[in-house]
Amino acid sequence: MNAITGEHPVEREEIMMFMDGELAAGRAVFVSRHLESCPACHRMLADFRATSQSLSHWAVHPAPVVLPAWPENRLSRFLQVLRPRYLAAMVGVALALTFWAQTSPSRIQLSEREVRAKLTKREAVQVKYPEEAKQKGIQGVVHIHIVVGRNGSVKQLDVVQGDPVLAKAATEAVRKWKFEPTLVRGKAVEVESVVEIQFQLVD
Amino acid sequence: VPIPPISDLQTTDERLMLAFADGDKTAFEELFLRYRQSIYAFYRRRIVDQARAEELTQETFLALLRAAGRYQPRALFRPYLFAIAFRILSADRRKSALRAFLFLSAGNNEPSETPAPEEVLWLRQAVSRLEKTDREILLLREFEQFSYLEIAELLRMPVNTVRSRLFRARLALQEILLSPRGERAQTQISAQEESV
Repeated sequence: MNAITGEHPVEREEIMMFMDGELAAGRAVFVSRHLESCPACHRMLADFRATSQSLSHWAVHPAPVVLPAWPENRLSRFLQVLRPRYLAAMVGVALALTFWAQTSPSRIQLSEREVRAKLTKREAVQVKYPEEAKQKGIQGVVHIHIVVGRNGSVKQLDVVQGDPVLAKAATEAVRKWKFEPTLVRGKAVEVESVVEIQFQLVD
Repeated sequence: VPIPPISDLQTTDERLMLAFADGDKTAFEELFLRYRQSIYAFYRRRIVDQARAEELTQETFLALLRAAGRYQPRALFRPYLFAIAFRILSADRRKSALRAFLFLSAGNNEPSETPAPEEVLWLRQAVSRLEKTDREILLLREFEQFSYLEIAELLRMPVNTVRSRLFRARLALQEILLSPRGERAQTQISAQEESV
């Protein structure tokens, strides 16, 4: 298709490839021989070389660029990576996350009454009055801070106040409590609350 | 195989890059010295604004600093570095195009400053008349001296396309340079050369 004439053995692009050193060795020898005997192809090669030659006049002055500062330690290397636009992107992501966290909370706080209402009766475990406390006549109130996971079981529990013996009995029971899931706009969330367990000896 | 010292002129770019990835500061300096001019020239021939060419050159070496850890020893360094430069250039062009679009700066995203005195203005103008992909292929071949295959990889196109477009670009440029206006400019070139 690129042949100069119908019976031409060399394609026009091959002459350019010859100049660029892009022909396989065997083919290059063939094209080279052809160039010696074909004025048209020879002319084309000369024109390509002349164009290249013209372009070579396009010189560029020495680069006035200085070596970028070598980051001395990990921190400055890290800071160098943090260019303003990345920093801006990160701040943006952080803000979006905060906003998202506020609009769709992953955990809410409920009053004791509310949280107890969600206690599934079947699985609510009764608190046993410890024998030791009975004998020593210990009574009183234990406050326990609980976090109920999305699945309704107690995933975290801390004694806020109360006698250690009573607190132990209270936590053992509360740990096993199960709750109905709490939904906020259709999504299950964690719930935290403080429950109060009363220990009172009956005379 | 013992690794020769960095000062050794025979040290390949790839070895320098690996040493640099290992935290060798002098290896980076050596690479910078080897490539500063060709990277700067790469930008300078493609961007009218000299200050921006300088900035992008800096940015290229900063990108190299950041990317050092991810360098794969099997990749040749030179095409690797130019691929970074090319990405930065493309990003910069997109940015200017966006800016031009947003601020409606009469569709002219190249600042109309007077070129530096060494500038062979006519060649820049002649080349700028080529179709943009053809122009890019021609520049990569003529100035960066990349092979057809390397250009194909850099521009993500088939080698055949590179070859036919390069051929077309050369014929077109030849025609531009031989046009009456071109001949006038040719004499300008030699005049400028004598004065520089």
